[in-house]
Amino acid sequence: MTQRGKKTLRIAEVSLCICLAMIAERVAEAQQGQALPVAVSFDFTAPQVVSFFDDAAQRKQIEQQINSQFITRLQLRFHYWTFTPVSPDVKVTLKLGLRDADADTISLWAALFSGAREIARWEKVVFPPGDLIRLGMPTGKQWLATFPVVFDDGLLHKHSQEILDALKGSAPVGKDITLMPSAADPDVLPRAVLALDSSQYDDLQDCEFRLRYDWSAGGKVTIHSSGISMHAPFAPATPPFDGIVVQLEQWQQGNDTQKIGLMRNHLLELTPVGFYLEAIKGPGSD
Amino acid sequence: MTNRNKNPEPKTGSSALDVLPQDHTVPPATASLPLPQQNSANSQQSAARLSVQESTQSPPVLSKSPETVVFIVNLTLLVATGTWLCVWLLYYTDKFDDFAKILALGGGLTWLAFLLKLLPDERLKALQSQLDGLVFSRWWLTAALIIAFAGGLYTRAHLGTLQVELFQGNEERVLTVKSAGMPLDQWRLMPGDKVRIPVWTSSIVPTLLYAKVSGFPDLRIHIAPRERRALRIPAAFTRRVILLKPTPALIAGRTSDLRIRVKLNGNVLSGENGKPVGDLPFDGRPVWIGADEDVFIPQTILERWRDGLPESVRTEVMSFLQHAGAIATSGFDLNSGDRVCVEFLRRNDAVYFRRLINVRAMEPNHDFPQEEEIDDPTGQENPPNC
Repeated sequence: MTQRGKKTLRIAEVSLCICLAMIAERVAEAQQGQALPVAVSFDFTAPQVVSFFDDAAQRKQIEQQINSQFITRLQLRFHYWTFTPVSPDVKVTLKLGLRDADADTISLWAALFSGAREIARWEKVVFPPGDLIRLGMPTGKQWLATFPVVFDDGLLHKHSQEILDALKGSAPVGKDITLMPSAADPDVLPRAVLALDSSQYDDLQDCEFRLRYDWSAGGKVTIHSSGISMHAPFAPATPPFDGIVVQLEQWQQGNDTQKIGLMRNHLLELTPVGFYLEAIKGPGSD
Repeated sequence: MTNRNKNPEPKTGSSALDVLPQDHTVPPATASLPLPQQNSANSQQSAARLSVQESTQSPPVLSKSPETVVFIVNLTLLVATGTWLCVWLLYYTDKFDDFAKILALGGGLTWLAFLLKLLPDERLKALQSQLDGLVFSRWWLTAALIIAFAGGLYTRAHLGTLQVELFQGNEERVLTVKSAGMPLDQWRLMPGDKVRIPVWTSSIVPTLLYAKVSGFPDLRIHIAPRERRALRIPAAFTRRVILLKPTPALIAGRTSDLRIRVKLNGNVLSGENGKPVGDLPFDGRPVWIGADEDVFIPQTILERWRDGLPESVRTEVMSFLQHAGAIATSGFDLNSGDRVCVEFLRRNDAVYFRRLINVRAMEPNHDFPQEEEIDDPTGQENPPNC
């Protein structure tokens, strides 16, 4: 390659990088104020079912469509998180699949994973004994019609609280937290703004959150906090948005729990890791 | 047989049964009917003539005259031919009873028997006498009998018989016999029934028959001349065939538009017309290889299948397993050691799974189908080459 050609190639590479950076920035801006993602992944894991697809491409296509159905339904029911298809940077994953318990029973299972660790698992029979024989194995489009009902009624409705609890325990709702300036009155508890757009998540303004920090003194600290039906600009965001304001109530490290007032001086030593939904509460509820 | 001593030859010519004029040198073999209106004068004339005739002829009745010789020859031929025909009918066909009925003036000839009973004995005897003279004592009958005998020999040398008997079972069966692709006929066999079917054949190229009894595999049989091939149902019709039994999982997959293709010893199957047998769409039923669709699955096999199924799916699965489909519209012979390659193909002709089956010899006290279970191909990474 000539010197000129190399130069042209270099320019093209730089231009591409700039474009990608701009796109990433745009995406990041759009995601600011959004709850953190929970990946959803569906695969026809039952060998019996997998074998009846003509080819892998056809099966993948159906799996993606079913995954989209699941994401839509999860988003409607648990909108405190952002459900997305699997991506490498998402730590918490809800995996779904099929299991042929016997040769004649097909079940839909769902398991919540944090990294490689399985948090919880649920299962619902899609085809009880005899049904699969009588009806025959569904074809691609029939699967699309079969799953929404099973997923809604058999898993989301029946195990709604269990799924919510598992998500609350393992899937952070957001990451960024900014401390609000201390109030002049020492009786007023310290407050923080969560990176959640209050216009989208106004039903979280009275909920309890668990804020996780790295402490410069060592270890991780959990601060238990509650929403106070208030929102405030989340300053680091560009463009800024109103985040949900919580008051910090308890400081916990390991099993040692302190009132936040005693640890107020250490708040500036904390680096946010993420915050979790602890309890869903409405206005005025205990 | 003759009554020439009693009834002189009348010359009136009034009766249709009158005796024809006879040569005076030969005693008449026949006589006229006794006519009531004959007067005493005629009787005296006849008696006189008779005495003249008797005085000029010797020996009188059983002399070895040509007519007597003819009669003896004809009688011998008739006895031989008739006996031979009866034996042949008795052994090779099931029409002897009908034949005997005809001889006894039964069935459709009952009216004739009735009429003959109405006739007076004298007229009957006269009829018999005329028949004796006109037929039994004539060379043309000899010639006809010799020709018939020769024809019978030729026919016998080109006829064989298939005999099928419903020996066991309490259900009615339908027997279909075809030759060279043309349907011959169908017979309904009740338990204990037997049917004999004469078949035109030759010793050089024995006729190939296709025999099919409802519920059993079809057979192809060569029938040689003078052969009576006896087949008993069910033993003779239980030849080796393969029965593919799908698992419940595969039955559930019948909606995936799978097709079955079978090769025998590496060759694509051909139908009766010589064209390749098409793929069979898999509909969840078991599949016969080597038999047509109209073959029942032995009850022992069905019961074993039923017992091996979980109770939760027994009814649903058995509703598919009761009746089997078939690869071809007619069966074909499978011999011990044959290699049968079964392929299940997807819509895009990709192989879903492949199975190589070695045909085993039939074992005593075992069911005739060689049962082979076919399952979905989980774990079949390297399908066998066929």
